[in-house]
Amino acid sequence: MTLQPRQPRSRGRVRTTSGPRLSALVAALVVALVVSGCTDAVPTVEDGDSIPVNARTVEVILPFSEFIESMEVFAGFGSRADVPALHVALDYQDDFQARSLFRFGFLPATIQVFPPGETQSVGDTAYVPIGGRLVVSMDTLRAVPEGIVELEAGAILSNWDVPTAGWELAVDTLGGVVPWGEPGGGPVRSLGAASWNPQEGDTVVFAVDSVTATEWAREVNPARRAARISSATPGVLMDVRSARFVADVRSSINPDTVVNISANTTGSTFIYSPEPGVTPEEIRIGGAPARRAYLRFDLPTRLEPGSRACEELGDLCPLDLTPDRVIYAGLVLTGRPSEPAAFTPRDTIRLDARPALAGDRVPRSPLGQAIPARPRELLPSLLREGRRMELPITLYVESLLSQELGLRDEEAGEVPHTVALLSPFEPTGFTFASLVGPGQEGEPFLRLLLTLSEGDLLP
Amino acid sequence: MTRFAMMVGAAAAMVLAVGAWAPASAQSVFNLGGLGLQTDPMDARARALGGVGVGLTGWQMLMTDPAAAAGLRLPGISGTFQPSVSQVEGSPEAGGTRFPLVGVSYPFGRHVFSAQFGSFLDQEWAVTADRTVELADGPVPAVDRYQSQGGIGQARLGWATRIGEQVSVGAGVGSLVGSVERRFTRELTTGPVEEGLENFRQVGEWRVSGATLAAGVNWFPSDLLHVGAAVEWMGDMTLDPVRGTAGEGRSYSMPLTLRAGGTFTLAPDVRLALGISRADWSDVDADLGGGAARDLVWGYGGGVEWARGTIRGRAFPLRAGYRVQQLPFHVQGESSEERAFSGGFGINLADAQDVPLARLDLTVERGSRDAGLLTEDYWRTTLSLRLSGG
Repeated sequence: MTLQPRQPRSRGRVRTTSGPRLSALVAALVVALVVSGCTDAVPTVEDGDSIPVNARTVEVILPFSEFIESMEVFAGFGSRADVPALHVALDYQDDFQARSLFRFGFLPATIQVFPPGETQSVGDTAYVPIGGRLVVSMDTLRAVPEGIVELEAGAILSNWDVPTAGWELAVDTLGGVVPWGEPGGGPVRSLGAASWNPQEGDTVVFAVDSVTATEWAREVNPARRAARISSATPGVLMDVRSARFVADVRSSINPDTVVNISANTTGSTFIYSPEPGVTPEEIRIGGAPARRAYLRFDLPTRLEPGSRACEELGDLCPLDLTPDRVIYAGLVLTGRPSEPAAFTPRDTIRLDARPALAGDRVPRSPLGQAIPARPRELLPSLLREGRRMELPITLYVESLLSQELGLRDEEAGEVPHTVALLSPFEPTGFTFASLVGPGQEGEPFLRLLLTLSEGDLLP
Repeated sequence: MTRFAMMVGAAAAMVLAVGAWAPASAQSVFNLGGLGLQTDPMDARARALGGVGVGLTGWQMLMTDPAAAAGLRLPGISGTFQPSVSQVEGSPEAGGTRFPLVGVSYPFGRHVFSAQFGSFLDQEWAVTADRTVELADGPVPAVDRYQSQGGIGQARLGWATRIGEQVSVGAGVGSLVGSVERRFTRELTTGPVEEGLENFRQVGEWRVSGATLAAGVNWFPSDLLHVGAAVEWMGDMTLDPVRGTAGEGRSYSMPLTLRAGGTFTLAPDVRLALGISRADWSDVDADLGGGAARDLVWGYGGGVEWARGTIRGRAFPLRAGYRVQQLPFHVQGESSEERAFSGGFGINLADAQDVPLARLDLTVERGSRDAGLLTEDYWRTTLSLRLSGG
């Protein structure tokens, strides 16, 4: 074998074997190999003995007092006026009363009439109300009475505030509390009663006398252009969809002409009695205005001997609670029927948990993003029958433990210790979810699933 | 159809047929033994000839033979692409792709310098086990998965030169490179909860380092005989934890490997290549706690190259070989071994006078790995492309 130490670069002609056909074949071959070689499948063997890590998954139940420092329940979030449905009831489920209040806008300032003998209409601003009707539309989908019911209407004679009016107070603003003359939106000038047969239609009409019609047409104060709808049939809950005032007015230009004009609702609310407050022994979520429970977490980072949670772990006690061990954390709550019974939800209520970003400003603290991926839906039966439900808060518990153990990046921000339990889209209805509070049988607890591992990853 | 086209067509059909049911991989369940499956940094020709990559005729960049680059006359680059697929009976196929050898060479005077990157230990594998977890509400099915990712390779700077007409020598210095990630996960079925259940994860990642030295000699006593020998020393392989991995690093002793081989011309254009290797892994066995690796690992094999085949005046050598390679690490407590038949060809795509400027070699291996009752069959394709180099 003879070779030169270093050859100058060859200036000879470069030949390719077989020309383009060979190149194409080789290129196709290489491409086929590359393409076929681009799939990866990790070789996998089923062999538990080859796994050097010995893992053990255990369940830990933390009683309320071992992970919650304090709990407060607040009411007053949102307004009754924001509820999509208005209600009327008389002695529903024993003692629940509800009435709906409506404000009307102005009637049109001008009507068009034909003066006597004329063919060209002209505007008439001096028309005279001679009577009218209060047309109420009832909801026939959600709360429908089984038979004919009696409704009553009345013209409200007091000043009242749409967002804050309640059963006892006509105005409930800061520094401006005004009670009703009569609890329940009174006194009113009666517009009489009307029957509603749900089988025949969804409209109830009350006759409006000329005095009331004139007052509603001329009144500048919007609080006095208002009507109250109430039920005279006990034991029935009804939903009112809307109300409209239709006035019969006589023309001042052509007194033979009577015209119907109407005013729509400019504000509405409903008031009810009794108004259940809040109690520290019970978690109340939802309602109108809505209620929230604020839980201040104080998670232990170690389960010490002597605690029930630790003793149940047997040989694993004491046990460090570290975020990498937590594979699940669920806040377990137990439902119960609301009191009074009329406030037990008849439809699904959604339960959400959000961190209070400023724990020292509860209940006015802004709330952070929802902790569970989606709100939990509480079925009425769950609450009625006192069943358990679980709110997954795994990520929150991991974050909180990371913070407590100093494992969390400062840039990630502080994890709030206080979490609000609430019903999203407050308020959705006057009913609220009742959940067993601390110190009661069925009190909330934290269910943790932990996986502990032993052994080195490297051989 | 010309003879050349028929040969290339047949070769292409063979490769495509292999590719059809060997969709490219280089992974094996034997990776899970010890520190992984040892994969020698050899090109397609060395694979085809069944040897250990020492003492082959011609000049080339081979990490297993540092002196083999001494005669390269032009700067060159070479790369090897190796898809394969493997299957244990009753288990799903596994597969992947490796680049076991990539290098560049640069002749300067009588010296040739090179930089090469090659494979060493394959680390891609996973083990699963079905478990039952006892919770308050009753037993819950769970799956444990222990997975290794990454790989350990070696980077080396080499030098080679000829001494007279009959001897060439070479040496190299380098480092072990790569990373290893081990991940244990436990996945519970969502039975015990409706949502919010996470998998348990324990992850560690380590960066690999360790010095390597290699030296070799080739001797050409006659036109009929070409022999070579090489020694490769590796210091401790150190795995340093990274990315918050808990614990301290680990060190494992690496073996001293001796390789020897030769090529004998049996008849004009018919050459027989033989090779043998020996590596002492006894220290790493101790590092792994004993009973995890062989003390001595032998490999041997050989092959025949028929160089008379030509295509329009250009060489189109055909090759066939067989090799046996003991694997250093035990698998499921049993010592393991690999055997493979190989076949392939080479083709010069472009020449400048007598200097090949672009050469492609392709080898297909059919082999098996055994460890006690565990047997894995594999197909492995190795494709090497060398540009320039002389």
